[in-house]
Amino acid sequence: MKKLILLSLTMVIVFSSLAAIKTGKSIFYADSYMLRARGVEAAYWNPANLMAGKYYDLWVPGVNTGIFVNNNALDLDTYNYVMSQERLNDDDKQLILGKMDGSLRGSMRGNTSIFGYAFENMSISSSLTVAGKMSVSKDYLDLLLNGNTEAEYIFDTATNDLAALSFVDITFGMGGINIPYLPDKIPPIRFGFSASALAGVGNAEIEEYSGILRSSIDSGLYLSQDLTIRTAIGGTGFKGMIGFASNPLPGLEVGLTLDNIFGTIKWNMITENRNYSFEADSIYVANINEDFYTQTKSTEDIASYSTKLPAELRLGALWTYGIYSFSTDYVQGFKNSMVTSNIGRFSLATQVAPISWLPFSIGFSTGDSQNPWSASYGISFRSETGEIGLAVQSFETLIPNYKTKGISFGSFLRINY
Amino acid sequence: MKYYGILLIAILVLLGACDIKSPVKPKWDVELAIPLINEKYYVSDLVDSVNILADDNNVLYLTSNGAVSTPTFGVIPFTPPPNASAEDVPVYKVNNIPPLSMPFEDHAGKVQFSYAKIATGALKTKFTSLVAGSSVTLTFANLYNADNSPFVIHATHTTSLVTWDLAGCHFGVSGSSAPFTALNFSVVAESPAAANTHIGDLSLLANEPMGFEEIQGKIIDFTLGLQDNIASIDIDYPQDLNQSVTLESASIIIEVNNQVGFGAVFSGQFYALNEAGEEITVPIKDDQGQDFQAIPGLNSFVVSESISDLLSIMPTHIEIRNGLFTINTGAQTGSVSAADYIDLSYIINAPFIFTLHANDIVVQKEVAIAISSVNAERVKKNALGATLKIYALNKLPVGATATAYFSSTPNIDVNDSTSYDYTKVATIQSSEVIAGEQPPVEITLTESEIKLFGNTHVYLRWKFSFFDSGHPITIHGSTADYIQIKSMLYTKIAVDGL
Repeated sequence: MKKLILLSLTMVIVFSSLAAIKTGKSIFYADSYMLRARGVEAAYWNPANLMAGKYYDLWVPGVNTGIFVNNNALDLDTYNYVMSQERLNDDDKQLILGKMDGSLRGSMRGNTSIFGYAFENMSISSSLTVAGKMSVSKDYLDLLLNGNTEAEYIFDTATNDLAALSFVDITFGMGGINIPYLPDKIPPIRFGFSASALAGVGNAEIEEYSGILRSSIDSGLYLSQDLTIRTAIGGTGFKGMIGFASNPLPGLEVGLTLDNIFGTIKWNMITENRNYSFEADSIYVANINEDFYTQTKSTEDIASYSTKLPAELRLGALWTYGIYSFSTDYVQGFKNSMVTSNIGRFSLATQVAPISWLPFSIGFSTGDSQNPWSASYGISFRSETGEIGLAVQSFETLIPNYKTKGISFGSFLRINY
Repeated sequence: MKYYGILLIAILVLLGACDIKSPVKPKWDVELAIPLINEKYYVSDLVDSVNILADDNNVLYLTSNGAVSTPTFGVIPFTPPPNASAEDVPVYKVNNIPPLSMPFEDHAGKVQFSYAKIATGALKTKFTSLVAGSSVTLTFANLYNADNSPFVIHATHTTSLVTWDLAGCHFGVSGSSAPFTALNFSVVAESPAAANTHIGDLSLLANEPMGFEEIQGKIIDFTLGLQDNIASIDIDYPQDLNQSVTLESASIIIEVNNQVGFGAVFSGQFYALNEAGEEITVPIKDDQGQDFQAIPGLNSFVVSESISDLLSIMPTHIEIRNGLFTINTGAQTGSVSAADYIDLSYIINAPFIFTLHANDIVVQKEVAIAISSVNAERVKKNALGATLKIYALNKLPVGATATAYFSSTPNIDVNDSTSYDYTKVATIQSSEVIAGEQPPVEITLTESEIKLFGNTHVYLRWKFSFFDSGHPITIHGSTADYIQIKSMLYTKIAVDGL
């Protein structure tokens, strides 16, 4: 397992909005967690379910954690194959490149609790979120593996990207508020909201990128790279969330949330553009001298800027029958961003507790054009005083195996008192 | 519970059963297409404005020059006639003694002058039996002192000849056209003796050889020889090109600065020697086979027809031998001074019009390629092979096979296979064979061959084997005359880990 973790961490480094981790326990259900979240977690998933219960809920720092890495192309089988080859031949290279859809993309995201406390129908909590993504053009990898030909290679941000974002939230949630004045025929609908003050830790993103490589016998070798990375340390922001939940039938619960309302982080402490430019034109080996290229590096202070957190709509349903529970979520971001995707995604999950203190869960999430589908498994131990659990999520395979293209781990600890 | 436990165990087993290879640096090979060169080598670049020039038609030509001069003309010898003398002529006291003269033409017949400045020469006089109290004065009518005053001799009694140095004096009047044929003088006698009294005897001798510093007049069959061993040209053919070509034509332009005031006829021979020791001598004649006439001042002679034999041996050394200026003024008059001379410079121009012979030229200069130790190590470690694709566009009517000899040690001997590691051959056809871009030449270097560049020094020597042109070809030096070489290097590199 340790090796698997190491492998996963090294497989790719991209953050995507798929399988966005709001709290570690969502991994138990492959993100179908909107109506399952209770206590502190409800403030992040559906504050309508922040309701006075039998116990108060307490988060312990670091224990509620979720982390995932994935990529769109490489799996463990490919890794083992590559590692076992004395020297990669043309077929091996084709095997690797054939697994890529235009680019090698990867993502990583993590969330861990700092503190949390839920009482009555309110909660106060804080967590740290880190996210990043990277994509590398298949042409780059082709150059790396096969070398160049007398062709022109053009690179831009469509297939090459790098971004990272980290922030800490301090979230206050309130829920369990029944909407008044509803017609009698409409079942009661609970309402909740949460507001998060965001402290931006750091942000880096490619602002501009273009690259050209051309090798021609008539015009020589032409190399051009222009890159601007916008970086920031320190920012402040806000996001809000509203949620609704209702139980239209016995055992059935439905809900709706709108997250990232007014979501933005304004980076206003250290903001810079790091510019890098390289150009070499009409290069022939026979004529190379010390000044055959021009290269500039510069850093310039820039005005403060904002990272928008686009709004995200989530719909969910949860049906509980005895020791079984089934749920489905549909999430739709309004824009692509570090934390949202404009491509809708379904997730399904079930939890079974044949033994009341030892429930286990299975989840499934559909993929999209940028991220593979995934399946998750979790198990926990619960008692009167709390619950502790572990979960694993496998990308593009039902269970973690040699074909897995990414993996997530989740843990949680809930203390009831 | 039973199923639940089984599922849990199954998941853990599956997770734990994953066999993950230890990470190692992957290795693979990449092939890079690297532009190596795209250059036009213009023939005009050969023009160095010194030895290789281009004429008005952009035809290149080889040029070299030499210079030589005659010695200075020197003092012009003059031999008076033996009868330019009068001995023991009695002098009487009379009032008007008629003027006297004596013949004064060059007894050798080589000089006729109207004016002559004397460098060396003398008159001799003797007066004997002079009556006491008497004096005799000789006044020359056409012999002057340096200040143009008549040369005068006052007689005193002597028993032997008295020499009167004439250095600095001159005969005749400068600019006069009248030939100087006789020395004229008058005698004035004064004496207390009675009239018609014999007052003494006079002897005047002007028949000893003289030397003139300057003359105006005519010179007959006077020769000035060129100084020896100066008038030579050594031709250093680039890369022993003389072994492979025969020049079709050439010309020698002789520039003569005749400072002598007389015309002269130039005669002599060109002597040529080639590397093989072959010698040839051809007379210096104009295209009509006549000697060149050098008038006073600047003259330009062009020798072309008579040197074709000279070029046939592709000489490396040319000199003028037996060069001689003969002055024979005939009816023309002129002037000359002792410091006058004739200088001569000559330029050989050989247009690049030649017949090319099938012959090997080994470039004398060996190319030493220095490779940094870092790059040498990279080549040794990573280079797997390379192919050099060469595209040539040859605008010259010259074709050749180029052979490159590679070695890790210097002093490559193309005839000794132990002195080099391997060779590579490329052929470039003449523009008369392929006018446009020629088919690409592919030179493949195997892994072992390219790893020669894993040494910090690699040595390269070229050998060119020209194709026989079969007919004269002309090499022009315009902007349209070049060889363009384009080359792409396709190299296979081992990547041993990222």
